[in-house]
Parts: sequence; C-alpha cells; structure tokens
Amino acid sequence: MEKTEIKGKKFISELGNLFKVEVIRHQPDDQITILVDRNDLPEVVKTLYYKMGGWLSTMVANDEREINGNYAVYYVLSMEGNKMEEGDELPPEEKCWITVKALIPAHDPVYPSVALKVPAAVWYEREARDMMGLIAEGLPDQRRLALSDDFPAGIYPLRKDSIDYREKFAPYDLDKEPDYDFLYPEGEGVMDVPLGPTHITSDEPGHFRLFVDGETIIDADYKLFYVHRGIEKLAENRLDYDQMAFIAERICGICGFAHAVSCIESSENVTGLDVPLRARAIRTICLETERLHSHLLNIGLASEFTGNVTAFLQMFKIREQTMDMAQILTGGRKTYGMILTGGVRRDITDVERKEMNRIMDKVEIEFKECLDGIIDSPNFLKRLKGVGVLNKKIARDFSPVGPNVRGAGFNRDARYDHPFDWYKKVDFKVPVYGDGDVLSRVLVRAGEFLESISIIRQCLDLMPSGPIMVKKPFVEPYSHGVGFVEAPRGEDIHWTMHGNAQKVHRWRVRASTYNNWPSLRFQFRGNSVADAPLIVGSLDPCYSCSERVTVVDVKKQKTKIIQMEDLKKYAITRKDSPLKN
Amino acid sequence: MKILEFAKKEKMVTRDFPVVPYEVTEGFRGKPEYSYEKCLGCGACAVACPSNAVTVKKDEERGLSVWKIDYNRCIFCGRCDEVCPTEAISLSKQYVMCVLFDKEDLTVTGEMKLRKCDSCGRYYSTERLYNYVYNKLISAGWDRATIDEKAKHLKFCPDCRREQAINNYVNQMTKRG
Ligand code: SF4
Ligand code: SF4
Repeated sequence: MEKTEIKGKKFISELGNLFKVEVIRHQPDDQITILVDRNDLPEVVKTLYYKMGGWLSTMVANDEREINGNYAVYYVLSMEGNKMEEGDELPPEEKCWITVKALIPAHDPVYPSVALKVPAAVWYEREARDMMGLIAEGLPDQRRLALSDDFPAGIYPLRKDSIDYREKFAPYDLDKEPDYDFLYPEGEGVMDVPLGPTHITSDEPGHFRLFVDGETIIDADYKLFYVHRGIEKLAENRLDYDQMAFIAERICGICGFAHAVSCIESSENVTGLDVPLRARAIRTICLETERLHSHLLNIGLASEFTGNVTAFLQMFKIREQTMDMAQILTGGRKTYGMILTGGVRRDITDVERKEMNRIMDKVEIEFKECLDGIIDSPNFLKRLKGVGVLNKKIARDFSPVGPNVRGAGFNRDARYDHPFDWYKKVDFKVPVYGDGDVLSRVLVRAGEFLESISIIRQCLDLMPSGPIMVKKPFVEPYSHGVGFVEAPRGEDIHWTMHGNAQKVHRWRVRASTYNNWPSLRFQFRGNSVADAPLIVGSLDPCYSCSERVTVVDVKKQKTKIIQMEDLKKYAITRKDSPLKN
Repeated sequence: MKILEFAKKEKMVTRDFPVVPYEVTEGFRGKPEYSYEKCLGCGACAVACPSNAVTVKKDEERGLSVWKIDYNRCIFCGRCDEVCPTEAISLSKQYVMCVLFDKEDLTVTGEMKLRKCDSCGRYYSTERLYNYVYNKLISAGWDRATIDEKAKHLKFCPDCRREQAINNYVNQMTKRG
C-alpha cells in the first residue's frame, strides 16, 4: 500500500471517482470533513464503512440556518480497517477521522436513511428526528428515541428557534401519557417481560422488554432516555469553554474525566492548540486512574451478579485505594475539576508521585490475587461462559465500542487507533478476547486494568517538566471538530461547532454506551431470563438500567412484571423462577 | 475458596465514621468557606462559578448587594477560590454537608451596601469595592487630590463613564477644530 502524506487523502480521492465530494475542512491533520449531496449520503457512508474500513463513531444533526440557510447532518467515521480478522486493519499512518456532511434544505427537512445500508446509524437517525425534526426517509424504526412519549409534537428542542426560554410549560397530566410502542416479535405465543423503568433515584433508568419462550429470551426491546437532561442545549450559546468542562464531566458519575477531556479536546483540536506535554501526561494519568476504579467496579458487580458477594466487597476494598489515588491527583474522590482548555489545573508533585507509585504497587498485587480467587470459584466461569454472545458480524454492523467489542475479537481502542495525549509515548497492549461472551468482557477488563497501571507508571516516570497550561486561543466562529477519548466503557466522542462570542454553537455528546445499546438486542437472544441482568451489566452501563423487568411469554401470551430484586435473586440462586406462579 | 483466604489477609477496613473523622489528603478540595469581612461584593466568583452556586444580585430597594452561595449546587471545583481578589472565599477541607429538614441551611448569604453613581444616582457598585480600589491607589502612593482628578471615573457608573468619555473626546476634537 502506498503511503499518503495527508491522512485520509487516499479515501477521498477514491470516493471522488464514485461520487461528487468536496473537502471543506482539514483540521487537525487527521480529521477531514467532506460535503456530499444528501441523496448520495447512504452510499458514501456505506462505501466508507464497509469498503474502506470505517466505523460509525457519531452522527450530528445541526441547525445551520443562521449560517447557510440549511440544516446539516454529519456522519463521523473512524477509519481503522474492518478488523474482522487479525491484521485486517489500516496502517497507523492511514487511520483518521472522516466526517461526511450533507446539507438539508430548511423547507424540506428530509434525507435518505443511512441506517438501511449501515445499521449502526439507527439510533442516531431516530434521535435526529426527535431533536431536530430531520426525517430519515426509509428509516425502518420510526419511533421516538430520546424524547418522552408525551413531549408535544412539532417542538424540536435542538432547533435554535424551538422555544422561548421565558416560557413555562404547564405540568403534564401523567394519566394522559401515551404508551410507547414496543416491538413485538411476530408469531404465535410470545410472552413479554418488561424490565424497568426505574426508580427516580437511579441515575440512568431504562425500560427493557424481554420476549421469552419458557425461560429463553427470543428477542428484546428497550426504551432509555428517561432522564434526558438536555445538557447539549444547556451549553449552546451560554457556556464558555472553561465552564463546559465542568458541565461535561457531570455527564457520567464514573467516566466524567473522559467526557471532560473529550469535550475540551474537541475544541482544542479545532484551533490546533499545542497543549503542553506535561498537561497531556497528567490528563493521561487521570484517564487511566478513572479506568482503574471503573473496571474494579464492573468486575466486582459481575461477581455479585453470580452470587459471589465476598468477591464484590473485596473488589470494592481495592477500589477504595484507587479512589485515594484520584484524591491525591485532583483533590477530590473522583477525577473531577481538573481540566480547562489549554491544559490542566493542578500539577503532580514529587511526593504525590511517590505516593501514587506506592498505592499502585499494592493495588496491583491485591488485584491479581483477588481476580485469581474470583476466577477460581466454580460458579463464576460456568455462569459467564457463552452467555450474551456478541456475534462478529453484528458487531461489525453496529460499531460497538470498548470491552464489548474487544471481547468480540476486535482490537478497537481509540488509544491505539488514534493515539491522543500521551498514548503515543507509552507502550501498552490492547487485550482482545474472541468469544464475545460475558467472560471475554470481564477478562478484557482485567487485562486492561493491569495495562492501565503500567501506563500510569510510565507516565509518572517519563513525564517532562514544564508548564501545565497555555493561554486559550481565539476560536474561529463556525469551525468544528471531533474530540475522542477511550473511556472505561469505550470510545467517547464529542463534536463541537463553535459559535460567535467564543461560545459553543452545537455540542454533540456521544457517550460510550450509546453505541453498545443497539446491538444488545442480539446479545439477549437465546439466553435465559436469569442471565439478563448479567448481560446488561457486562456492557457496564449504570446498573439501575434493569430495575424491573416485564417478561412476555410468547407461547402463553402472558405478561408479568418482575421486581429487580427478584430477578437478581433468581440470577444468583437460579432457583424458584419468578416466572412461575 | 481462594477468595476467602484473600479476604482474611487484610484486617478490617471499615472505619468508625463519623465518630472518627475520615482523613483527607493534602490539597483536598472541600467546601468553600466564605468570609464576609473580606468580601468586596465584586462578583468575580459568581462569574467564574460554572454551576451558578454563587450568585451576586442587586437589591435596589434596600440598596444592597446580596452575595449568596448555595452548597447544594456547589461542585467543589475551586474556580471561585482562584479568582477572588481578597481570599474571601477559599476551599476548606470540610466535606460533611448534612443538614436536617431545611435546604436553606446549606446556603450562606452576605449583604453589602451599594454605592450610587455621583452623576446619575443609580446604584452601580458596592461601597466596599469602591473603598478597596481607592485604598489600593492610596497605598500605591497617590494622594487624594490626584485620585479625584485622575481617577474620578471611579465615582461614576459604567453608563455615565462611557458618556463622559465620549463627551471628552468630542470636546477635544472640536477644540482642535
Ligand atoms: S467551588 Fe466551584 S461550584 Fe463551588 S462555589 Fe466555588 S466556583 Fe462555584
Ligand atoms: S470574588 Fe471574592 S470578593 Fe468578589 S464577591 Fe466573590 S467572594 Fe466577594
């Protein structure tokens, strides 16, 4: 393969032979934006996705009526190669981000659906319809995704003129709330198991419906976004770039730092800001510290779901020490409040470095011993092996991320594919397991945990001295860029377009798990109801997602609601199925 | 089972909180403490605060500037601490934030007298901020007469200042012809 000087140029010229494409932005080096006709959109994205080895990272619908009189959609693809087998990937110098933009006239907000050709786009197009009122013609799933069922029709919250901020809406009568139209599998005798929505106190409720035949799940459908907070809208035209990081890190209680870095780097990438190396190293250290405590949490919870509460508590005991590391680094138990455009707010002193190393040595030994103990327990392997399998072909179609995709045999990792911050400078392996089951995901996390420790050690040792902050540059209005981070749950993408007055015009957040949901349905199929919490949990979303379940029996045509507690008990004991009455 | 052996190795980790307080590390970012005596009511903290925990509002009727922090909203980021010119607000090591029954107990307020513009008579700043700047100039070696002459804009609100600046400019220009 011939080498290309400018990253991604090869793909663009190949595309140019087939379609009319125009390069409209090339900043930074590895991010190209091309403009295509809206009717070519599905074919262009399909070609990039399947022929050239792209993965759909995010899709942004944008209101650009003040700029050019149109709406626009942006499909952001991470070009890394198909990765279906080992070695089937692009060489590092060709990996890049390609953003496909199409303008959609304001008087006719319709575009042909990409999801028909590239299934990974399903959720994005549903959301674009909810939030921006852009209709994807031919989209197989026309239900609402992000908006609640009783949200007034015809109001598209992310349009710039959607609401008068001074207006107050009258409280809605809950009895009038329409029902969400869950998918029902065709055929005789399916039983329906609803799971969720949750408690008001849980941070991320979701409603799952499992369709079962006896005890076996034959299909599933789910509705999330019960607590959509409208953070994207909040930021528009109101927050400046210093405030945005603090809001961004509140998106998630676990991978908050990843969101802050991703958000801030999306704006830094646009201006080509040269962040000092020491600041980059500190960002890397914090990101990895976050991964440490997140993976311990998930491995612990996986043990709890198989009934091993001792192991769960031991994992949490170890995890507490990683929280101490966060406290040393940032002054808080979580890695919050560290980052601003241009660098980080707090340096690491020599004493702190030594203390970090001491804790890490201890944590590493304890983790290995504890993991050994968990895997040694006979129940664990039996329960995890072969459960919730993510098929390779389905994974390729839906662009899942993080341990989910790495457990299915793909070495997709933003740190490895698009090294940012200090990941260029450190050595690390990307653990990959090929079975696609829950066990593979746990093993990926265990492997990554040890890699993270090694990354932090390398950073602490090799970190250069120097400033940790540079001055913010002027951001050109209406420039846009992608920020990306490998959060503990997978690639986390932020896309920002800058507006006037040094504030943001459009901020699109795509949290890791967003890309893992659409393929979850296939992972459920063929498993027992007792394994449902385990499967959802292995994606590492917030556990609150499965507070209650509705089970639908396909044969008996019956619906039953099971409390999360009962389901959890059943998952642990496997006795007294709550489905029997 | 191996896990039990592992569990036995380490002693109890549960602590007697709150009887024995949890020790935080050096540089811990805790609850921001407010010192009314030092505060000027300049509002820099309110501008910097990303979560609107600190607000500074004018109460025209009573002629007061009302400074208020709502700890329910505070995210312990320390931006206020960074920008405050007098260290009136600074992070402490406190982290226990329990109150009984009333959320208002988690707020702290300070009221400062507002100052009127010498020209139009509207409130524009606090007395304290005015005195702070005035005293700064004195300690920089200016005497009162110089201040009254060279820094008389201190006594006017931004609107009047702008107007005067324009008038001065126009006068100069017309004088020059
Ligand atoms: S610590 Fe942060 S959130 Fe709290 S008052 Fe200060 S600036 Fe606001
Ligand atoms: S920045 Fe300091 S002096 Fe100014 S209002 Fe806030 S606390 Fe008071």
